Amino acid sequence: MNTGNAELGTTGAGPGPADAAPEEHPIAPYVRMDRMPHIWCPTCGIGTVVKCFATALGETGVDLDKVAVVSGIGCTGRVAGYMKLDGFHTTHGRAIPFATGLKLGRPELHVTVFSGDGDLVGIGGNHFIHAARRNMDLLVILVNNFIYGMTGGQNAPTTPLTAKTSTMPFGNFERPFNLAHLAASCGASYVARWTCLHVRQLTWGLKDAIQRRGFRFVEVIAPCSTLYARLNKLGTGFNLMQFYHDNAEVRHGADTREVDIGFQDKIVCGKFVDDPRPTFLEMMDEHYRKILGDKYVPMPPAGGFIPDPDSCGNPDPNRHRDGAAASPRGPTP
Amino acid sequence: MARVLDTGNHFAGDVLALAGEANRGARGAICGAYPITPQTEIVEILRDFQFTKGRVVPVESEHSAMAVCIGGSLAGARSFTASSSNGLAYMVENIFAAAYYRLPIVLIGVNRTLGPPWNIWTDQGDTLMLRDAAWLQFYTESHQELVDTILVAFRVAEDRRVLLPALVAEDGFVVSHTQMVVDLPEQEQVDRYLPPCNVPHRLRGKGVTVGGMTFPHETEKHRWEIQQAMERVPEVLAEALDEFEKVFGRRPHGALSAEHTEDAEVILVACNTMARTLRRAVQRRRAEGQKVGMIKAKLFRPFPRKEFLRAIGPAKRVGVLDRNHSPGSGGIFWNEIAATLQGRSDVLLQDYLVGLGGGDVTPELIDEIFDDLAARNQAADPVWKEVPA
Repeated sequence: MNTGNAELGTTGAGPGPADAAPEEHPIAPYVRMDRMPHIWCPTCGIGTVVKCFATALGETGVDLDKVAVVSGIGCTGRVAGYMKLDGFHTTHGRAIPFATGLKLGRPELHVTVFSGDGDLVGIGGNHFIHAARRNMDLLVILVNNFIYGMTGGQNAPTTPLTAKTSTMPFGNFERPFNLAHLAASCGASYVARWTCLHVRQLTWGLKDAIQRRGFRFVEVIAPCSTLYARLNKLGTGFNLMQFYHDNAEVRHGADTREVDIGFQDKIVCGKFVDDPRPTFLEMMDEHYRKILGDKYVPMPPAGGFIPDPDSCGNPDPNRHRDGAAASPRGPTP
Repeated sequence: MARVLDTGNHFAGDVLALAGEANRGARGAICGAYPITPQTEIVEILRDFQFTKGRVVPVESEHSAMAVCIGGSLAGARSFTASSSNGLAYMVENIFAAAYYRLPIVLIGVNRTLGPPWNIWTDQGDTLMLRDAAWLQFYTESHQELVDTILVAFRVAEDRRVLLPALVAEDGFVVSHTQMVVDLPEQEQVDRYLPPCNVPHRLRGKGVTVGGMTFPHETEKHRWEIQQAMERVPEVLAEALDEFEKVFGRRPHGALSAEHTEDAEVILVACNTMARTLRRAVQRRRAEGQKVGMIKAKLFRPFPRKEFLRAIGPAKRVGVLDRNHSPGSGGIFWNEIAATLQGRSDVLLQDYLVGLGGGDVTPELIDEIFDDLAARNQAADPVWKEVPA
């Protein structure tokens, strides 16, 4: 770390010698501290979700070298760049297909899509429903602030009826998605919703989701005090958190048809769907094995052999078949 | 006409609204809109405007925004939208479709660098990506020129002799988010300037299918017709400017603006706000007695070859400032000008890549380029200015 403040004695925030006694944030190992401060507004909820995800990663003990974060565009799209994990900040709406390619190429990875409502279910809505339909092995964390935040508060497919946005100055008349129901009805094997206030439950829920497979969808309701709250005169971030406190209701296993969110209405939270089903990769492997028999060679877990530039470019052609590439970090340096 | 202080984006939104409202006696206005930095205020202004006859629909993507414009235009409405950078990239399929359907849609392109890596500052690579999309392309240097050119673009695009969509580019942030005083037209003037939008092949219950499947020779004829329409643009544009002057009492730049070129030995070419900085540099050097001139490039499609050849006059050294880059080649304006100067081996043409990704193009940089060009014996590969080590 080289961005600390020497006068305040906060240099060396990374893991350092004990005598330097650096005070490190508990999630510093998961976050690119050199990118701080982040761009999110005061009282924005996205940082809380990052914190919960980092904590969940730590508590599940997954190998961080096997976790990738893929984001689209928007405020939440910044997450991929802030986490100290492999990942990419993709084009608008396309995080899910980018992540699909990554997962198919490196089946061993825990691929997490971390993006916002406008990105994942607005411009990228088609990919969301198809990945859920295929039960693609992705954890999708969707931060829902009911609005397009980064561009200035335009109407989103999640904006509740009657809420004001910068493109609906007279109030929204379009029916929003009930995302939990959308995901469930398309075939997601895990569907949950929490708010930014539910820090412990959200951390637990993300841990739960990380340990499962298939298309796992976790929606997190987050305050946007700069735009959504201001345009709708809902007060500050604190008032929004208070609203979650008073109006969120935990109902595990709730019928997703009944969890839609109205304007300043109750927010049903909990784990709605936990229905392990064969994933896309399992279905594909099983199908081709049945049809093609021994001719079918599934993608090895670590994605196959990449020739070492020093090895004269003449790798053993059978190497990708016998799983030799499945060493913890793969055969590449 | 009111003198108003506002930002480029606010003016663009205001003028699109005026143009849309001017069609209230016909089929009104339709706009599909999707936000992207630095275009967003245009969409917000349009959503706020109460059209007598018209709808602005916030859709789920740029691809859909252009699709809505195509549907609206085929229904006979005056259609327009705005986007930037990767939004334009995502819109591309329908941008081509709009032209191939021969629909006079107007699109404001707020120039922004294409990502990734993500960058929101100005660079003309996004709109120049649409070079071959069969759209008219206008590049504007100031708020006033933006306002005027949007109206001219509607008039030319909707002319029966053209019937092609038109893109009007403004620099992201430098124009879109800064304020200048502008003569903002009144509705009554715009009503006089823009005749009712009349798309002859609009759907009107006659059982016509637009699009359909064609064979190669039919497609070839279709493209040839587009080329013919492009070639008619200069005369239609000249008429549109004459009419503009009658209604508004001022004349915007035409296809290009040649300044001090009649006796210039060295000429630089630039578009958008770079042209304004260049103008100051030229004026200062002229005051010192140097024979320098400039061409402010405005119309990029169709590229005004004849006008350009006339404009360079006796100059033997021409430099191009390109805030865009075609990897493997060079600046895109430079490419056009090189094609235009084919056969003119007496002219030394040099390309300078400047301000890519939104870097400032300063008077000092332009001075350096003037000096470099004046000292050159022969042209070299495109010169990258200010590439960090």
